Amino acid sequence: MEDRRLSAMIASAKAGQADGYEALMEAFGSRLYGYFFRATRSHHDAEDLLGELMLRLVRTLKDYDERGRFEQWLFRVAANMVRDRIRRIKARVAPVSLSAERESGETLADRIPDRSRPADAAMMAQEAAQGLDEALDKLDTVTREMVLLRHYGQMSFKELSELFDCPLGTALARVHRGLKMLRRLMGAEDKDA
Amino acid sequence: MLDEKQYERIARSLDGEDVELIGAERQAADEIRRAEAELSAAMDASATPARLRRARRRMIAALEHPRLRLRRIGTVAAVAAAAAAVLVLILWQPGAAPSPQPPVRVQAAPSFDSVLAALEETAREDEFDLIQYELDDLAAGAPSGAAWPALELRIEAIENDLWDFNLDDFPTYPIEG
Repeated sequence: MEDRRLSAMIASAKAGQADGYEALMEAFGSRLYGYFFRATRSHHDAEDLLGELMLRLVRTLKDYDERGRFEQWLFRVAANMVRDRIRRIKARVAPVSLSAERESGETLADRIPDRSRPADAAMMAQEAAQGLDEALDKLDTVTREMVLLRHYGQMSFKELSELFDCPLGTALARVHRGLKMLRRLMGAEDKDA
Repeated sequence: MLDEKQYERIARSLDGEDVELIGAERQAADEIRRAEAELSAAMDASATPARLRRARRRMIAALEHPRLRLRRIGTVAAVAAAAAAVLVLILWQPGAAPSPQPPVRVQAAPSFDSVLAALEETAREDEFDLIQYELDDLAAGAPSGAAWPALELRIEAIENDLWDFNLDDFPTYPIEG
């Protein structure tokens, strides 16, 4: 995005004008949503986090130092929110038995889709998306966040090294290893061979 | 196998600096570029207009009522205080335990309105500003690795619930053209 246009949006929002915030939402909302969705694997959580982030933007934009890159600042806030959300979910999660019966006599295992059923196009697309999600899940948290922030936040390796407080070479090594693992898990390396 | 220095050179090159890569470095840089391009298509997860609209609505509501959230937390705190006072009254049994001091007589449980009024009286703008500043500071600047105290997480959860209750239950009306 053109720097001058972005500066105008930020200035307008800082002045408390709804138009400025709307323009920022227009410019970054979709990418932020994508980041939240991939990080939480839930459309509900992604929507909730996006709404919460916009609220925080209203409260914190005045603190934004315009010498830094706005996008990095925005995604840094988003990354912190994701980490808080994940921490909260981990604190709440309780084990559930697949064989425990509900009042109706149905078990959780009964509700899992039967893999032997013929697949249609929508199911295949869904499985492809699930493949990515499952592959992302296999990465450690920091590597996954780095890969996601590279894509959605368009962060440089220098910005990642600052955000995660690690040497520049380490940030790149993590992303490199993460990408290789994703390709392997998603079968891309088989196609290359 | 690349070492830390080589990784650093690759990172600087991919960040747009003028660094000449050699052999394995160039190969790794190409690998990263290719893998990121491939993943790019798979990563797309578009938000429906309805989802973006709802997020925008929350944002606009926040612009219109910047102090609403804190006042709502105040309301919740007042309700909790009133409930606690009622509970104390219910559990308090005069003369149940011998005491050298004369028992304290509770005249009446504070009403919800009186607690709320008292809270509103004390909730001056400066104090709201200070609390708001602290919340903002935590939200934007706090290092993410630091664990939030349980109380703050609880407040955040209450805030979320209040917002969901307030904004998600608006009836929708047809727009007449």
